[in-house]
Amino acid sequence: MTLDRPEISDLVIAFEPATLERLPVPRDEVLATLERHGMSAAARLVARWPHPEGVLDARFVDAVLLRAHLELQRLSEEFRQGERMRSLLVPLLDTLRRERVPGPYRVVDVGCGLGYVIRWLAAHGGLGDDTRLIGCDYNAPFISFATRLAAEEGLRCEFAVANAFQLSEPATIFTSTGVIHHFRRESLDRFLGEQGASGASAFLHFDTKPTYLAPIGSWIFHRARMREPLALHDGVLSAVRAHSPDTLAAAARRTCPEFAVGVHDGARELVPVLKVMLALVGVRRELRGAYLERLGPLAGRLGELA
Amino acid sequence: MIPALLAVLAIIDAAFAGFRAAAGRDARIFKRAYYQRAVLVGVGAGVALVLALAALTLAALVLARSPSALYAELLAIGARMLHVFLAYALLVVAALVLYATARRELRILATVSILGPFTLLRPLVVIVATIRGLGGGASLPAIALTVVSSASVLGLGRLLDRRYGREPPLT
Repeated sequence: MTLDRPEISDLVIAFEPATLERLPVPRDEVLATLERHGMSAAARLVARWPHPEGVLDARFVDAVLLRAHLELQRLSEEFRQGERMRSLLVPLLDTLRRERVPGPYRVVDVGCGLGYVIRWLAAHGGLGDDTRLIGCDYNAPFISFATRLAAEEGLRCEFAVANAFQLSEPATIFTSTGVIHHFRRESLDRFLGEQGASGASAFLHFDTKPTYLAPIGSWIFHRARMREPLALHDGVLSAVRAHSPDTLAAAARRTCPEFAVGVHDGARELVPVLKVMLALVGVRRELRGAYLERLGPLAGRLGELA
Repeated sequence: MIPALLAVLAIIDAAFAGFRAAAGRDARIFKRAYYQRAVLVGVGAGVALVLALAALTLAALVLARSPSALYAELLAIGARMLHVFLAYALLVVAALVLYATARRELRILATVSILGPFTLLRPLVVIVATIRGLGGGASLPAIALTVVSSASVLGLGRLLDRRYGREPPLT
């Protein structure tokens, strides 16, 4: 039941899947969904939001989500998500070069939000001139903000309001951070299956590692760091909803048979405070050996890449 | 020595409060200058607070029937409070050193086990220090000065947070 609880941010914004056009969100539908899941506190929070003619005020929702994502970036900085992504991405790009996979290599971050990881990689990644960094999100204000930030700091990356699997120039590597737990059951299979079918060479999806300490740790952190109630609510819930390494690996192996799949930092720890994130890693089977070699000592943390 | 240590700790605490107030409001990648400014704003506010509290203490001493007795009482309270504050400060400094120097996993350990939880516990630490400071029994002026000082240290964080909250949440 808890795992099926939706995050507020999943409910208060909606897009038409084909055109990505923003759809009006009736407030009462959101409240009913939250109440159905026994989430009265979340319902009370959304109930206070402006809702002219019964529809949540889109500008207000955007402002709340923007504040929440600014605070989320602060956590990403503290937890060094950019560095974390780079540690697995650099060996992957080296593998592609070594195996003569034709470039340029397009690293596409799915559900990039404000594009923190992509912008961090553009600033500090040292990924090489043959690598393009692209962030995709359905949320137009996020993308326009990310684009502006990148331009302001002279970062070589781009952002698009787009379905990451339907770009005119397809991805070589799909990445994400803190996104994959939003996909449950069939939609997780669809999300991974699209990557398998896309012709991409690899994917790296980071998310919170579900451990017995993750929910309380997440609560402490979000309570200490977040100001925006939505950020606090969704942040804590996302740690509860995080997929287990076995669920992720099984879904990826089922839907992407042409990929060797492993979970980085997925191993159980007695006191799980050192490794708070895991990464679902998939590489085309023909790249497996070369990637393991390029990973060096990190390969030991990958578990089985099969 | 005791007033000086308390003043330094209050100013350092304000510097951190400045940082915390600014954090999570600016999405740029390169923002060292932004954080430096936030810390300086915190230090400035901390110095102003310390000066205001010093003036208040001075006024209380001038008005006291026995200034030397009140001063001795305040020193004793301050010394007891310092035990709590210094232990807290030592822990935070150790975590910061670890965060600044260690490899990524150990940095996360510092964050997860100390920097996050102890930010949350900070108001409680100030309250515990106040109770401990006043635990030995105190006169009304000493209680008032101690409570006002502790409350204003906690209030300063909120004030700085509100100040940053007024700025547009972009860059």
